[in-house]
Amino acid sequence: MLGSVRHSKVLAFSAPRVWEIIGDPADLAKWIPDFASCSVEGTTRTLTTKSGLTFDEELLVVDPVTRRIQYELKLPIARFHRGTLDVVATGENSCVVSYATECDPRIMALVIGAPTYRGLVELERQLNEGE
Amino acid sequence: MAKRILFITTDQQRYDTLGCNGGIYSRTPTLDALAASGIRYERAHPQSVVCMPSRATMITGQYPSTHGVWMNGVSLPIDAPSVVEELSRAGFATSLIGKAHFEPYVDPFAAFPETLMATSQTHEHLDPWYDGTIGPHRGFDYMATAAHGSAGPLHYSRWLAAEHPEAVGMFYPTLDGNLEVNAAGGGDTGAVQVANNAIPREWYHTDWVADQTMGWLTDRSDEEDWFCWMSFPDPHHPWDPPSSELGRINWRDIDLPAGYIEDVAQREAVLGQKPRHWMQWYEGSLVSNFEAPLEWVPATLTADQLREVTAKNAIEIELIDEAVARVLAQIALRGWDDDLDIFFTTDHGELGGDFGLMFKGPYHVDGLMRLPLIWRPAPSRNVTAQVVTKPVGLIDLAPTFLSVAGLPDASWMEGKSLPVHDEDAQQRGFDSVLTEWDSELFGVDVHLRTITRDNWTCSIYAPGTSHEEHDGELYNMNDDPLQQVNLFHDPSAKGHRDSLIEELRRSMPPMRSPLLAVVAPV
Repeated sequence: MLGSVRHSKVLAFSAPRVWEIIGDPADLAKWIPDFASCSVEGTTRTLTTKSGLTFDEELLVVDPVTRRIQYELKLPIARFHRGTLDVVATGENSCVVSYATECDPRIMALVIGAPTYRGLVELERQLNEGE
Repeated sequence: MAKRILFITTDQQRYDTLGCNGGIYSRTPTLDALAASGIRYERAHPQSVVCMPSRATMITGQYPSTHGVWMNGVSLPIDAPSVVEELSRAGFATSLIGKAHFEPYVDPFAAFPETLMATSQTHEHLDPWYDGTIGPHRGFDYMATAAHGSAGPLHYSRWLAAEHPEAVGMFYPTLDGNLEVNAAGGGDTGAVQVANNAIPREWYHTDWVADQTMGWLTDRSDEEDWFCWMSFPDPHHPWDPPSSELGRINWRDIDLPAGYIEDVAQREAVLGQKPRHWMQWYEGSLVSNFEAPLEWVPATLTADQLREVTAKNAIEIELIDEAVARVLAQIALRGWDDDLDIFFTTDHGELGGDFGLMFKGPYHVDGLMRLPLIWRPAPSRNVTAQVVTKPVGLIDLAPTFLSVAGLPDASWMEGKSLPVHDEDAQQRGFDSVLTEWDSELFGVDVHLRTITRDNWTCSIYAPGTSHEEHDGELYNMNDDPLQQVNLFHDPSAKGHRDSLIEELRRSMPPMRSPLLAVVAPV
């Protein structure tokens, strides 16, 4: 079985407002504090962590209509990975942001999912502070 | 005169492994001497039986429900209250040397200060305190961290890799290639988490922790108040002490522990009376928590494997006792002993073969809950040696440190300063002690709460993967010290059960909400 981890935040901001911040996959390092840099070329996203690791991800879905981003991480230690970021409107000025990580081996879901949690905390901070 | 506090902890050590507590394998003359001249507690319990929540309780003086570290892999918030911050504010020099584990170990993103300090080869880090003050991380001026081997980014691992790279591969790898707790067997019997480790003793983490502590103490002046948390990673698995020391105890000479039921049918009958997750783990159909090897089936444990684990565990404890002796000798040479309070305990116990099980998990029995705890008050205060039989908790340590330091109580602490004798315990209401467990891991959840009072232990379960609302455990430890007869549904014990449950529900603080995120396996 895959390991599955999902972090989420209920935000008092509209889904379009939240999507402005997180909808461009090249902006990941602007709201997940673990990353020092992020770039996208074609469907390949390259990330460098503040701890000095660099790796590539394959972007599978970038859908501004359903507000979903989905991707696979390419790392030898992860036989399978899928990350899914969703923004779901729950009202005119409210939404749920859900960030799911599925992985084999299962423990890697916890490890890779950790920055997604910290990203949601940072996202909420940026929204609250109007950044 | 200066105030000095030496707080010595080990990891995953059973009550019955010290000579002063009736242990027969490890020779522990140093710790036994502290107990003989101080206060030995016969019923000290942790508030959680895994590392991170328990250590968070030690430093905050709060229950896991309150500080929020509800399972391993949850980080204690950076700005959580800390008794060490109070000591630092009062002018104490403060250090933690050895195993901290307030933050996750598996941290490849270096998101936490414990990792950052080690990767940057520094020993201090500034962070916000609970009251908004900026100060040393959790109050520690100096941190030098270690865990159970050479893996990971902590100071000991970095030191070993730099100074003795040939030794890095000598340790048993605690985790396997999938980052699960390793189930590979080793040693002479193929026992899980056992290895013969060729590392020279002086490079092993136990002696490293003592050496680092002595180095920090060397820099202290005679006038300085100080608090030093010397935190040994052993005797937590893996059981891989330096091979040079194996001659101390021959595993073939080990008698099987009293809690190990040799007859398989009898063992399984005992497990069958307990809530379902006991038998499910034993037979290998459910590993509810990360702390036990996923691929290891307890029913496969052989008597010889248990003997070898017990022997290696005992050797690790002897090495700790000798390391403590070295540190105390240095302190004596400085002439500080008369004004030194010494505490010794551990974060939780070890099943150690009880019921055919090892390691730890949601099993609130004495193997995991009854801990060694010794307080040797400063001899200058003329406290007479005592044995306290009333129940106390690790939650009571932080208030005790404040008391020893002459500082006022902290309103956020939920424990009380440890009693100095049974009458003191009686007068101050040390009647019961509480322990919590919550875990949610990949679709499996377990939630239980336990109270120990008047030599009864009662656990209640919340509905979960393996449990229904009315599951529970009740043991009369006067008649059944090995906790083999579950009286929870016995009509003759209903009065005791209901009284204990009523007090448990009344005493337990509510769970912090929302739950803090699990961001690592451990």
